[in-house]
Amino acid sequence: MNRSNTLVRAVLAAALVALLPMGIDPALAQSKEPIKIGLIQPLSGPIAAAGSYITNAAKIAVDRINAKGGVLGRPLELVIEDNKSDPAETRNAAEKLIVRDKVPIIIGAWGSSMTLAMMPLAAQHGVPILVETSSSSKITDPKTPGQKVVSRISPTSELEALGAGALIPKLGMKKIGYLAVNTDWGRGAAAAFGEAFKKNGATVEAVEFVGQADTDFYAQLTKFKAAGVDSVVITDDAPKTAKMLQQMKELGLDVKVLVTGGSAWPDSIVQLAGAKAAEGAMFINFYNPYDYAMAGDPEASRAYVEEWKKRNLPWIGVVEGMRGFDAVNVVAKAIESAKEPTAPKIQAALKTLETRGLYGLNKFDQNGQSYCNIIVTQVKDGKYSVVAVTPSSKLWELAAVK
Amino acid sequence: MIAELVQHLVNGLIVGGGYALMGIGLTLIFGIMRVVNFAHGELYMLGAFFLYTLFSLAGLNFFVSSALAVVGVGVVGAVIERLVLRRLRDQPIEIPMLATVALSVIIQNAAILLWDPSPKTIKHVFSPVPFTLGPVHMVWIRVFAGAMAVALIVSSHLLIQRTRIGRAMRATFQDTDMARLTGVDVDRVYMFTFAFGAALAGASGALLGAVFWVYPAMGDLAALKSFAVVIMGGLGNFLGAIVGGLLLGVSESLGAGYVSSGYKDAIGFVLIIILLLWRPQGLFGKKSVPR
Repeated sequence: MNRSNTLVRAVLAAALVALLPMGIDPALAQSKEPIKIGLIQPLSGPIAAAGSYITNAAKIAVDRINAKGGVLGRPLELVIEDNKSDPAETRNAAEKLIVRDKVPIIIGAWGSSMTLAMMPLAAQHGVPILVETSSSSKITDPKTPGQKVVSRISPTSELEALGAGALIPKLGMKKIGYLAVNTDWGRGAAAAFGEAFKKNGATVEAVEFVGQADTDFYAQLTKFKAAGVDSVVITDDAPKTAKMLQQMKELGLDVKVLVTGGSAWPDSIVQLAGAKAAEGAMFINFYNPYDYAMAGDPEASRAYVEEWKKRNLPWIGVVEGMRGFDAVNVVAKAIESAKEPTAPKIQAALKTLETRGLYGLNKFDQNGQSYCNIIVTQVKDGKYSVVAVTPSSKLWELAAVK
Repeated sequence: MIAELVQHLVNGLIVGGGYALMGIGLTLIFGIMRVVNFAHGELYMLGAFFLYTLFSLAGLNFFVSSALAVVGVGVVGAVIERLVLRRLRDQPIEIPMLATVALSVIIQNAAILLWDPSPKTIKHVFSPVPFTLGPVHMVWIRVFAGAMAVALIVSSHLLIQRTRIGRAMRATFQDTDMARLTGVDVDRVYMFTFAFGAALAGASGALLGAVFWVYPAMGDLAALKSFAVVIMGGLGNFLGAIVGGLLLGVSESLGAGYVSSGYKDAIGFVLIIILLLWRPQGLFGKKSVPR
C-alpha cells in the first residue's frame, strides 16, 4: 500500500519533470507564438482597391521578415480588418483588434477621416497607431484627441506642398480650379495647396468637392470651364483621378493638371484613363518603383518590387502598396528595439526609432510625424517621368526652417 | 452663361435617366410585391459586372453583351424571388426586407472575391472623342446611355399597359386577393415582377458602368439614390419614378454647378425633404389607405 503510493508519486514526478520543457513553462510556450500586428484597411467600399494594394504589400513585408527568422525569434502575424471605407466601421475594427485580438499596435486606416475616428479609442487603451497613408494635418496635431499614440510615415498635405513648393512657380499655373474628395484628406489638401499656390501669385478660382463614391464630375468641371481656369489641381484616389481626367477631355477642358496625395501616379492613370487623357498630368508621389536608389533603403525597394511582380499583383498598385510594406517594416523595427511586443514598449520605441525604408528616412518628430521623399512625376509621351525630387533629408531641413 | 446652363441640364438629364431606370425597378417591386429591396444596388452592380465579363473579358460584341447582361440580372432576380422572397411572403414586411439586406451584403462580397475590388473600365465601342452641339460638349457613350434609358422606360410602360403579364401585374398591384380569385397566377406575377425590376436595375448598371466604371461597391450610392427617387415620386408609382429620377439628376447637376458641389448629394435630399413636407405621399403617390 505504502509502497505503491510512493511509486505513483515517483511516476507523477517523473512525468512532470519530463513535461516541463515541452510547453508547460509559460515563457517558453509564448516564444513560439506569433506576434500579432493589427492592420485596418478599406477592403470593401469605394476605395477598396487602394486598401487591397496596401494589404498585399503588408503581407509581402511580413513574409520577408518571417523568412529571415521573424522578430525577437517569433514570427509576425497580420490580423487584417476591413473598415468598409467608413469611419464608424474603422472604430469598430479597432475595438475588435484591441479587445479581442489584443494586438500591441495597429497599422491604418488609409483615409484621414477613418484614422481620426479610431484615434481616441486607441489612446484610451494605450495602443499605438502607425499611420501609413492618411495626410490630414489634424492627425498629428497635439490638440486632436488620441494624437499621442500616433506615428505617421505618410506626409501631411502641408509637407507635400512644402516639398513641391520650389516647383510651383515653374509650373505656370495661374488660374486654378481645385477638385478634391469631400473628406478630411481632400479638405486639408485643398487648404494647404491653395495657400501654397496663392503665395506664388496664382489665384484659386473655385474649390469643388466630390463625394467618395462619385463617378460623375461634369457639374464641377463645367463650372471650372465657365470660370476660365488654366489649371486643375486634384486631390483624390487613382481611379477617380483617372475619371476626372477623362471627363475633362470630354468637356474640352484642356488645361495643366497636378494631382496631390501620392495615390495616383503616371502608370495607374495611363492605364485607367488612357494615354491621351493622361498626357502631361503631373503627380506628387513618395516612391519611385523604377529607381530603387531613390528610396531610403534601395535593397528593400528592389525586393518589394520584385516580389510584387512575382505575386502577379496589379502593377498600377505598386506605388500605393508601398505604404503597407513600409509600415510593417517600421513596426517590426520598433518591436525589435522595444525588446518585447507590448503596446507601451512599442510606443516608447517608436519615439526614438530611426529607420530607412521606401518612404525615405522614417523617424518621428515630437508630434509623431515623419518626413518622406517628395517626388513630382509626369506622364510624358504616355510614359513615367520624374520632374523633381525633394529627398526626405531635405524635407526635414525645410520643415525645421518653417 | 446660357451655355453653362444647357450643359448642366443635359448632364443632369442623362444621369437622371439612369436614376429613373433604377427607380422604376424599385417602385414596381415595392408596389406589387410590398418588398423593400435593399439589394437593388447590387443588382445594378451585377449588370455592370456581367457586361464587363462578357464584353471586356470574353470578347463578345458590345451590344450583345449588354443585352445578355440585362437578361442575366433578370435571371438572378428570378432566382432570388423563387429561393428567398417566395418563402418569406407571408411574413411581416421587415422580414423580406432584412433578407434583401443580407443578399446585398452577400452579393457585394461575392463580387469582391470574384472580380477583386479594383475599379474596371469598360473600353466600349464608342469614340472617346467628344463632339459639340452648339455650346454643349458630349460623348457618344452618354448619348447612347440616355437614349437606351428612354427606350427602356418606354418599353416598360408598354409592357405594363399593353401585354397580358402587364395586365396581371396591374391587377395584382390593385388587389392581390381579388387578382388571385379571378385566376391570375400571382406566384408567376411576383417572380416576373422581381426579375423585371432586377433587369431594369441591371440595365442601368450596365449603361452607367460603361460611362463611368465598374466596381463592387458601385451599387451603394445608386441604391440610395433610387430610394430617394422612389420616395420623391411616390412609392409604387411608375410615372413618379421617372419624374423623380430626372428631377434628382437635374437638381444635383444644377446644385453642384451653381451652389456648391460639396453639398451635391445633400441638395438632392434637401429637395426630397421639402417635397415630402408639401406632399407626404410623394409627387404622384395617392394618400395612403390602410390595407
